[in-house]
Amino acid sequence: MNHEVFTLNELEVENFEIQEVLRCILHTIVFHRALGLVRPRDIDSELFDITYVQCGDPDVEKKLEEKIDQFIAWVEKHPNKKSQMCISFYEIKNKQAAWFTNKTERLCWEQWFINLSVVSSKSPTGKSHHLKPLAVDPSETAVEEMSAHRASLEKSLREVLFKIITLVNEKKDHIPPVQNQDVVSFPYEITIPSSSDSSFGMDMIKRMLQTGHPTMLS
Amino acid sequence: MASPSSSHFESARTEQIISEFFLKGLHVILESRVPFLCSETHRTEQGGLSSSSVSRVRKKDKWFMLAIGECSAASEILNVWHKNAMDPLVIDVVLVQEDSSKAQGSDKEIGSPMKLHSFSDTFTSAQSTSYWNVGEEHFNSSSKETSVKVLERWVMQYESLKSSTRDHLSSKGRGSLGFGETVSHSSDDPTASTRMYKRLILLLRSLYVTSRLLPAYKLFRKLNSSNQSYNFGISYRVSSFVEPFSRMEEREMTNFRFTPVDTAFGRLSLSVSYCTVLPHLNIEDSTSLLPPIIVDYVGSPAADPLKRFPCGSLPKSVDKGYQATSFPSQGIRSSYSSPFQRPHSWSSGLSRCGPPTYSPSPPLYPNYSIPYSTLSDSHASTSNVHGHRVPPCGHHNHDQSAPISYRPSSQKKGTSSEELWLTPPFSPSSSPSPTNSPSCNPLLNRPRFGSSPVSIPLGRNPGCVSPNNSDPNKLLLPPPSPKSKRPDYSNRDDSSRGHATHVSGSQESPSPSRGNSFRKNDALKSGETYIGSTSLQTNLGQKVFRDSREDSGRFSGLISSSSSPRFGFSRSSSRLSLQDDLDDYEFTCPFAVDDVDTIDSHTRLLAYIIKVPCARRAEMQHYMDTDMSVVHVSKVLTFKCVSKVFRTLP
Repeated sequence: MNHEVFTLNELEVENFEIQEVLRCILHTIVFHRALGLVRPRDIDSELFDITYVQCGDPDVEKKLEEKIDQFIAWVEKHPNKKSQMCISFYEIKNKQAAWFTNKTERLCWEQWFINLSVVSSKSPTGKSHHLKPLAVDPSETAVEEMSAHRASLEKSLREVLFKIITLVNEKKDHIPPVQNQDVVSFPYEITIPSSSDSSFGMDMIKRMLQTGHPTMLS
Repeated sequence: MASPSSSHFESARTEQIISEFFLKGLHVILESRVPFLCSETHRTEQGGLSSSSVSRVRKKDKWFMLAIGECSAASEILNVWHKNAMDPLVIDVVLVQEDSSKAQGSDKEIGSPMKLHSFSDTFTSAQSTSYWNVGEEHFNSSSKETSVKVLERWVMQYESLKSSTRDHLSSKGRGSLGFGETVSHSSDDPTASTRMYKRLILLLRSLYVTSRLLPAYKLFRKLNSSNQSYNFGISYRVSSFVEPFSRMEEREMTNFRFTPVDTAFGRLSLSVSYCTVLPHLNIEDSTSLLPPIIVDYVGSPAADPLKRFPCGSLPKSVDKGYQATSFPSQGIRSSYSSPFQRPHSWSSGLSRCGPPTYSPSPPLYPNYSIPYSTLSDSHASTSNVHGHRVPPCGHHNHDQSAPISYRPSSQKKGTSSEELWLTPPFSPSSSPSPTNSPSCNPLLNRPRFGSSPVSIPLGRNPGCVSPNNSDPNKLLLPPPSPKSKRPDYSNRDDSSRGHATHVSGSQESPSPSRGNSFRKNDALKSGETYIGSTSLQTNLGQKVFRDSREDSGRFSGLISSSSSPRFGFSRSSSRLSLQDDLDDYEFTCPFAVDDVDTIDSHTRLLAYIIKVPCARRAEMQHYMDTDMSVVHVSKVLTFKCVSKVFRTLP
């Protein structure tokens, strides 16, 4: 089984932008891995002039929101650091039963690494997730900077989304057979940095060792 | 090694999947570009399906596991304009912009736009292969210049492999074409089509996401969500050839090519060229070009088509107790008597033949409803008669039942588990099985879209005898629907056509004609009508008369019209009344009326595709000349007749 690892370009975000950025990226990835019957929902980003697509499953949306919230909480505790979120897709395979092993094993066949560089907010309302600081920032220069940053981030985010589409199209052979009719056809897991800074990286290394070497880095 | 029959079967199966991909791909594109064209998808504002429809899964939705409803406009466009599925399907999304404030030379500002009138010349030569829906009537007014610019060009193409190449690949078992994906298909590989289907699912997912990411989507959203009118609009052209861009256009375009999907018999490629930077658009209100959709719009001078459509030859037939028809005798007669004012490749009506929606807002009704209510003007009473929700009738029930192939219990020995979940919802009863298909290559004669999903699932149709039935593995993948099947209009699952056919009987009266006459009178009171010999202005859409006996889709007539945004119109009643009359004439083919209408923010058009046997056309002509008009219009009627349509008449 091929194991594909896709590493997306790093995005420089402010705290209040994390949520929307991750929503766009995660939902776009999951939508392409939702091979069950999908009722797509077009969602306009609250911050960016971008419309992304959800697969229309409340459970999926809830799970993603929870992970995003956890990630934001981690970022707030560890400001000004690069951070990474990983979404992994698995395949459940039956294993020969033995008294000391499980009957099934979970094989990771794809991982997406989302890299964010969280910068400190340049505006007093930077902690807000939804308010646009442009409206309240008194400094014209700051407004211009914010505007430039937003435009730059939006452009980069759009590029990342296109990159996801490109990767999804280029790499299809590693996708395991669909074994169920769930909306998201494969078990998936979203990994965020744990409370200790180093454990996330170690965890990733462990996972990569367990699942074999990445066959593709981008 | 695959036997010839199984190979043929696989080929047919693959080709139906490809055909369905074309349809759904076109649906996704049009739905996200042309306002209100695919409104029958019954989405909420955020794009999700309305809650009441969530529980319903239609068979059409199961194709590629993407529940986006149905766009009858896309079906019709493909049926008419892309009959040969081996041809490329080129969808140009065009920006139509009013240039009133600019000198003609300044058109370069948005690229190298063509003057709208120049399309006539273009279509004279190309009308047989391309279809425009640009609402010319909107731009025909006064001295204002209108320019058109291609914003996006989507190209879908299925290239069939030559048999020698295919044999070579099959002998190698797993090979590569050197481009695209690895070819791992062979004709006897039972999972090949499943893998291919899965890849197409992914490709369609990508297409869906991409369509939302491209810049033109912003314009669509702006037009689709606002009641304002703008001095620009989005339209589209469907053709089967790629018209080269000018150098200037090429410089502005970015190309995005999706990874092609290879099958055992060919390769499906998809690409989009799009303008990275949208031209500067004036988003100020502009009522002259694209009138806003407002409640009392009927009385608006700006909406008066006569002012925008100076057709001197248009006679008026007002207040005669009945009003002009959507497919009036005058329309047909005019086709013989005089040259057309416009080529029918402009057939805006066809493009708007999709959703029967008269509301500027997203459809309020879930699946199986005809969302053409919400009219608030005085004519609304007419259309509101039909504006309520239409319960699924007849064949709809089939759509709601999950195909047998999706059930785990239907798994057969030797069938891979994936086939259980990723099986295309073929329609066995309608499929052109290799033994009964008149054509060796179904793609060369595209199955009529929309026909397959409504057919009875395999196993429930004892009358379905196809070679694959004997093969447990193939039981899950019935052969494609035949184009020779019964006209799909009569059994399409939840198309507006189907609704319209049953709406009166199911909701009001078992006798459609009674209800019709009542509604007709209502409608007749509701507006005045102008009937023209060559161009009849109407607030209905255009109508397309087609020969139903064959699949060629030749037009026997086409009358198109522009519409005023707010009006009440009883579409189904008119059609039904016509059908009643036609029944008297013993039409061999039940006057299959394909009425799919749509609304965009600027116009409301109805399109009727009427399938009339050639032999009966004369009778119909006579009927339409002498009998009362059939379709009611509230305000003004415009009929655009196209020469080609009538050249086909006997």
